[in-house]
Amino acid sequence: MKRLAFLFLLVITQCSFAQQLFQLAPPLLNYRSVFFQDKTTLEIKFEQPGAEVRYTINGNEPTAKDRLYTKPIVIAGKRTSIKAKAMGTDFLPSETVSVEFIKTGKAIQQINFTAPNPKYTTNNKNILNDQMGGNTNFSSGAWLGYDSDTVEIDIVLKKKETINAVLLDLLQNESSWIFLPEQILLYYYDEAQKSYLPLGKETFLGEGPSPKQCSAHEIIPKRKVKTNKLKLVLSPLKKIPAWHPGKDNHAWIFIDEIQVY
Amino acid sequence: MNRRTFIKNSSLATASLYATPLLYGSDMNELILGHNKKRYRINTKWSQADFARNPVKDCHEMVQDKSGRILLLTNETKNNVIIYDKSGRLITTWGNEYPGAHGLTLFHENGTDTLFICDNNRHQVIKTTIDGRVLMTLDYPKETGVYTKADEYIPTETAIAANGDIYVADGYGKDFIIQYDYKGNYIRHFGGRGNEEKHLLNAHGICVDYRDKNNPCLVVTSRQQHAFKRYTLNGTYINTIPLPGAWVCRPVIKGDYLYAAVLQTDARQGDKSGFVTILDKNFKVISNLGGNEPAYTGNKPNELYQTIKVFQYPHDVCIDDEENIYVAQWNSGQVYPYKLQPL
Repeated sequence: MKRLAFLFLLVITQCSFAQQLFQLAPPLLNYRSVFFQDKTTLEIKFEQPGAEVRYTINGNEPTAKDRLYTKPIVIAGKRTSIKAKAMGTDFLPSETVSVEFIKTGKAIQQINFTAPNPKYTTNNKNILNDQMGGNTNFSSGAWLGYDSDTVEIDIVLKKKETINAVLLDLLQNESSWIFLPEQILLYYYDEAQKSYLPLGKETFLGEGPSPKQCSAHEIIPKRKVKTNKLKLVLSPLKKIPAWHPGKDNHAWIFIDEIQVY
Repeated sequence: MNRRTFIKNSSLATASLYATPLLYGSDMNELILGHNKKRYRINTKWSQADFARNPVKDCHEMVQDKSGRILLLTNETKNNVIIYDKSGRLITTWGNEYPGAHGLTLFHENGTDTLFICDNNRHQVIKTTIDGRVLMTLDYPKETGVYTKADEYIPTETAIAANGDIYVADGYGKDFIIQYDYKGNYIRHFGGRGNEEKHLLNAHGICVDYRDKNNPCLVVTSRQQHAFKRYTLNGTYINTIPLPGAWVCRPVIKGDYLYAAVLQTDARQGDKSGFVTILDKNFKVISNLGGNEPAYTGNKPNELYQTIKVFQYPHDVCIDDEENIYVAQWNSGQVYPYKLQPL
């Protein structure tokens, strides 16, 4: 008990001498797109004397022992998650910023999609297969935004191929009422039956808040099929969950890229 | 591990948890903000006002009067104007009728201090004495022929030329600059929205720049374009000063330098990413307080961004007769202004 009292006094004394400690702002991640064919580079900017940027490429939280950023990082892996943080002895470390780079997949002929909300639409017919994406600014022009009940996306590949996975890049920005869809269904076109048959499914629960981020989801088919036509049916959340200030309202979904592997 | 050792260990762990950052604090280098010749120490506890008696909402703008007092304009109608001495002691307050109090400009009119308040909600500019007596009210400028009702006009700032001409920036309305004579008679309007260089987008601030005595000019904020735009006193466009990424507020000139609060940056919109920028008389960024080290590629500054979370959404700066800077903030948890002292 005596020891605790002493420590308490120590804390109080230190308080009165300690200076105000400020937090560093997060570093800037500069990249053209998270999608790339062979390789790409990430430039991290943080021009602040007395501070440095540490980063990881394995998804872990960066610490003072991780890689020191000195020059643009070359990225070539299929999916590479980079996390970076600014730190300096005279500051509280910044919050972590992260980005995931994604290698492009099979050659896509064409993607047709349900008309988005007129506010978040585009003239670019190839917007979902232009290899541009991964910026969280929803009004950048790279995103299609929907507040309807169902969104259909038809994918035509350049040739018939075995489908290993279908990737969708979605936005999560709950303060702007942008959520992941409730459900994504994947179908393939069966030549013999002349119709679309189910191939995969993913559901999202949306139980609690998540940070503003680009969220790439891969749907892995339960069986191997060879096709050149795929269909995605997305169901936006019809009711925003109760923990959110916009509860019971219709949520939005935003999508900026599709890849097929 | 028995219970006793466990308690001992955990209390030590707790102690080191609390002690470390603080001991570390005493070894720390003092925080110096800014670059080059413009470097400052910060005091976030400058204001000695009692929040229970003299609350603030958004702290929008600040000026210093001829007796050295610091005036703060807030949209808190319990006390729209709070008057401090330079040490942060509250001297007096006035004003309950400015719910949209946004712009505050001081003009030495033949030796007497007068104030110009822009009220967003009232769609008016109000000229008062230093203690708040109303001298003149300017309603929405029908004379221009470009406004059909008061709602279209949301003035954010005024600048007063040496001859008394009043320039009003309609920064949340149609982005025109409206010029009046000292009596409030309409002279002309310019700026407004469009695709040409002379047009403005979110004309949030304005000042008259007399640093080049032979060529005085107006410096106008085009906040959504992240730039200042210069015009002659007759409203002819001169040039643009780009500030990439920076949501710059009103320009404030003191001595050879131009100071401005940057509300936030493109890199982190809506994320309390503001700082303060200082430009030399050639309109070159030389210091960012809480922002990145200024650097240029050709004639254009590199993207500007926050590096230290000192400010949230700074909205205006005031530079006093001793070169101290006061920073007023919008939507930043109702904080009182901070004071920065030059090194």
